Amino acid sequence: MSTGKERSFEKEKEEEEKISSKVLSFYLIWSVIISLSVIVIGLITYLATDSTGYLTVPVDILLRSYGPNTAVFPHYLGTITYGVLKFKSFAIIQLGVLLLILSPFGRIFIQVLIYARERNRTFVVIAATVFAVLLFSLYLSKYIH
Amino acid sequence: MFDLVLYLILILVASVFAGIIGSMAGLGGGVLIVPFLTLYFHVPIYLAIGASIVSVIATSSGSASAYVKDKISNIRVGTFLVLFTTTGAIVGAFLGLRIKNPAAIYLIFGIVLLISVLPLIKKIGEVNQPVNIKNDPIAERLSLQSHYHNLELDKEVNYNVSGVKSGSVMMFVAGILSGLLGIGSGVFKVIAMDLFMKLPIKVSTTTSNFMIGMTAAASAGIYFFNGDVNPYIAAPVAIGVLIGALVGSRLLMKVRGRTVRILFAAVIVVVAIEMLRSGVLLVGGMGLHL
Repeated sequence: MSTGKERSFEKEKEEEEKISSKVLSFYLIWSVIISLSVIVIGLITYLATDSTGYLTVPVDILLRSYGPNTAVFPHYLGTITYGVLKFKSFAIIQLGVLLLILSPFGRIFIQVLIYARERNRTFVVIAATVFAVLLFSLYLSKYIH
Repeated sequence: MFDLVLYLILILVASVFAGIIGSMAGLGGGVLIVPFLTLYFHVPIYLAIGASIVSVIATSSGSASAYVKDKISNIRVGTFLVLFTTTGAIVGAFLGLRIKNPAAIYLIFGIVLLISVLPLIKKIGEVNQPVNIKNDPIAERLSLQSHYHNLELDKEVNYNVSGVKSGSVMMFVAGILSGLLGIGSGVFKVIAMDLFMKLPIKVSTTTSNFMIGMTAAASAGIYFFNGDVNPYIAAPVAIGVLIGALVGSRLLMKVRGRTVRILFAAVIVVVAIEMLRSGVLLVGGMGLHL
């Protein structure tokens, strides 16, 4: 048997969860739209300027260029920022890709805030741990190659 | 310049096809990207994995948006289990970048593709609505039980969650495969939730979708900052797979019946065998780019 007070509490909780789902859903779709738009802008810049902004190589080499020392495209925060400011097409694409990769970081951060608002302490801790694990992955990336 | 534009378009078209086939077979849109790029474009497998994992984030976030709004996915279950998939993904990416001979990755990829089509042949989740499931102690502590609107029964259905421990172990494995191969590994996440944790199938698949993006992000950052995400490949792949997955999921709603899905599964089996063959050739030291 639930008292009237409990029932209104349940209802309040339902309402809060409804808002949370809306916020998350909105964030999910817009993070994809924004990052892909940046990628498309980068591609258009590439086609329009006919330049990657970086070392020019034939296509068969381009398709096999990778690794921490590559000069064919930027892959660090600093070099990407510099390239975007100089309007280099490959830097713009990388910015979009990076936004896409980082969007789940923002999603879990929003969840931490949502659970804090719902005063769900256990899940604040769980979501914050996931966020920490994601950050740790970025830190580790320095040591892997 | 002509070659550069031509290849860009070819990669885009191939990615659209990969997205359509992948989602028509009920797998993610990204599952065929690595095979397509390595087998038909002779892209090094690490670059293919880097491009694929980025596209996985795009497709899963796109579709998760709808399910979250409809409140089918269980966000609490997903958030808890993501702890294990993200740690697994870091281990997987670490393994992937440490394995210097790509033969092993080709072989594991082929085997994982074959396992992925098994649920299509012996369908999991035949039970639309599991009954008499009790919450296990962890589920009770985290109050993971929830309810959703079951369209077939046309009513709100309550469900409990069991087997959290075994489910979590399976999630860790799914994470390793995601980080190692650059795939969403949704099949393995669904197996964990459906078989081990006894969640309703609709909740399992949508929650898995919600988790895939975060899992992929854990390894994508590692690949990106190591220079394994090449913008010339990643851009057309991300756009193409997203288009393909959208088209595929629309088509899937139109075609009822399993025949079509099994047809697409057959395509995946052929691709899996090609990956295994390439792996064996690499082990034999014959090289892939003959």
